[in-house]
Amino acid sequence: MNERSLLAVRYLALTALAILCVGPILVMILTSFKTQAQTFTTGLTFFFVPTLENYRDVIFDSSFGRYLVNSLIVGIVATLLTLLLGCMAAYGLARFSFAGRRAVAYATLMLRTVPLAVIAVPVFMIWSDWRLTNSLGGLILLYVAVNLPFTIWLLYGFVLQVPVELEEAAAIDGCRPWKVFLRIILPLIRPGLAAAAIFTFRIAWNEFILALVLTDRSTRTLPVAASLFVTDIGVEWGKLMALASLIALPPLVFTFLAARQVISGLTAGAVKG
Amino acid sequence: MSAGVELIKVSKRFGNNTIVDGIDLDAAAGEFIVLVGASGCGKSTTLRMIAGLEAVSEGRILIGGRDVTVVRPDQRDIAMVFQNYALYPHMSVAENMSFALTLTRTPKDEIARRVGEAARILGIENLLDRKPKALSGGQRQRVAMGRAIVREPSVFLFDEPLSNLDAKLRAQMRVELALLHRRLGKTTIYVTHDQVEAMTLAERIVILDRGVIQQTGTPTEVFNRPRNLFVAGFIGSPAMNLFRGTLAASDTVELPGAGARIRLPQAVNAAAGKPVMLGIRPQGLLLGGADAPLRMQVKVAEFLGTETVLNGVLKGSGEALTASVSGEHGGLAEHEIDLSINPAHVHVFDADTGLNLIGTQSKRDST
Repeated sequence: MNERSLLAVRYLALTALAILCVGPILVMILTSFKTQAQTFTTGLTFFFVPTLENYRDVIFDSSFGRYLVNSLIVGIVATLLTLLLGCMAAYGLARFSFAGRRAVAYATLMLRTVPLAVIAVPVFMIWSDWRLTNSLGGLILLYVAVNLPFTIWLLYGFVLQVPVELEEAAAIDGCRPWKVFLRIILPLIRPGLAAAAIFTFRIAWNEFILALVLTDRSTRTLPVAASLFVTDIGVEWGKLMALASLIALPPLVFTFLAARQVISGLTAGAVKG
Repeated sequence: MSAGVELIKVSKRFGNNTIVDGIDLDAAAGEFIVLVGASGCGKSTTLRMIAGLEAVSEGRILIGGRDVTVVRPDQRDIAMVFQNYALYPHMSVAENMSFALTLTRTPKDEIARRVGEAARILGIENLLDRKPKALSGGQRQRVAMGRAIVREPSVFLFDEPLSNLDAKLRAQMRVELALLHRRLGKTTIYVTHDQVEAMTLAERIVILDRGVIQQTGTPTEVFNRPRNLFVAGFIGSPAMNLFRGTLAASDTVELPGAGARIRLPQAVNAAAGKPVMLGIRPQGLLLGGADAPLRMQVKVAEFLGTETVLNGVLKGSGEALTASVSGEHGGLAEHEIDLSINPAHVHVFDADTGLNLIGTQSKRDST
C-alpha cells in the first residue's frame, strides 16, 4: 500500500469514528426541533421546518424546575463532598505510613471496576433498609461512594508530585499539618481537583439506573424525568430529545470552566529539575 | 540575635539502621559550621534533626541554650535553605519570602520592610512579582535565601544549597554566602559533600563518616593535622597519597616496596616495626632535589594553568601516587621522575586504628 492510500484509510477510519461520536448527538439535536410527525417522515435530513414546541413543552412543564433543582443539588453536593473527602484521603495515602496502606490503596481502585448496574439491586435493598430511598441525600451518598475511588486515585498521583520539601519548608515557616494541606497542597493539586470535579459532576448529573431505582416523583433527577417520555403508548421523541439536549448542556459548560484549571506544570519551579 | 547550637549525644536510627551515632557538636553563636562527608554519612539527617524535620532517637539538641529536642520546627528560631530550594510554586517571590511572616500575623509594613531589605541584600528587587518557574537556578537560590533571611532567625541551616548550580555560579554564590554570613553574623550550619565549599566557607569543619564525627576543626587544622586516615583521604584535592610502610625508628618510616626511608617531621610515640600508613600530600612532593627518596612512574600529566598534577605509581611498590607540582610539566607523562618531600606535608597513621600518630588535636575538637 502506498503512502497516499494509507493516508486515505486513516482519514476514513477517523471519519467513521467521528460520525460514531457526533452522529447520535446530531440526531438528538435535530429530533428535538421536530414535531412527532416529522420525526418519522423526515428521517435524517436537515431540511424541515424546525419547531421550538418540544422545548416549550419540556421547560414549561410544571415538574421541570423541580427536577432541574434536584439534579443540580445532587450533582453539586456530590461533587463537593467527593472532592473534600477525596483530597484528604489521597493526601493521607500519599504522605502517611500506616498499617494496611497498600491494601487500602488497591481495594480503593478495585471498587472502581464494579459496574454501577451490578450494585443497583443490593444498593436498593440496603438503602431501603436504611430509609435512604426516595431522598436526594441517599442518592448523593451513593454517588460520593461511587466516585470516591477514582477521585482518590487521581488526586493521589497529584499529591505525590508535590515535593515533600515544600511541606517541610512550610512546617519551618510555621504551618501546622492542616495549614500545610490547605495553603500548600490544595493550591498545587488544583488541576487534579478540577479534573476530578469534571468526572464526578458528569457521573452524578448523567447517571440513570441508580437514580431511577432510588428516586420517586419528588426526588427525580433530569435523566429519570427524561425516561418518562417513554410511555406505554409510545415514545415522545421530540420532547425526549429536547430534554436530553438540555441535560447535556450544563456538563458541557462545567467542563469548559473546570478544564481551564487543568493546566499541567503548575508545580514547575518548586524544585530544580 | 544569634544563638549557639549544641548537640549532645544525638543519634538517629531507622529500625536497626543507625544513621547518626551519638554525635556531639557545639556551634558558638555566630559561628559558621560546615558538616561535610560522603553521601549517606548522616550529615543531612543531622541537619534535619536540628531543623526539627526528623525526630531524634537519642540525645538532646539545644539552640541558644534552650532544649528544642521535641520542639516544632517553626518554634526553633531557625530558617532552612533546601537543596532544591523548595519555593512555593503558586506564590510570587514576595509571597514566598513573606509567607512565614504572614503566618505569624506580622504587620504589613513590617513585612514589606523586611522583604525589601532582604531583596536588596540579595539583589532580587526586580523579581519580587515573579513566580518561581520564571526564575533561573541562581535566582531561585537567592529567593530561597531571601525567604530564610526575612524571618530573621537565630540560626541558618543550609542543606547543600549550591549543588544544583553550575560550577561558575556555585563559585559566585559561595562568595556571596561568605559575605552574607559576615554581614548578618548569624550561626550557620551548612551541609555539603563538596570539600571546596567546606574549606572556603567554614570557620569550623565537621567531618562525618557513617554517622560518626571523624574530626572537628578549622579548615587549617583538618588539612594540616587530619586526625585519622578518613579525614586525610577526604580533605584535600588531589587526595593525600597513602603508602604502606613500617616504623623503622621513632622518626623514620620505611616503605618496603619502594625501598625508601622517609624522615618524619617529628618523632612519634610508637615502637619501631609498627605497621603504619604514610601520608604525603600531593602538594608536598617536589620535582628532583638532592636526595629525592621517591621514584615515580608518571602516567598522566594534567596541566591546570598554574600547576601540573602528575598521576602515576610509586616505582617498586606500584601504589598509586599523585604529585601536584608548580609550573608546566605536561611533558613528564610516560617518564620516570625523582620526587623529594616537604616534611610539613608528611603524616603517619597507625595502620590498625587509622589514627594520626603525629597530629596534636586542637582543644576545641570535640572528638
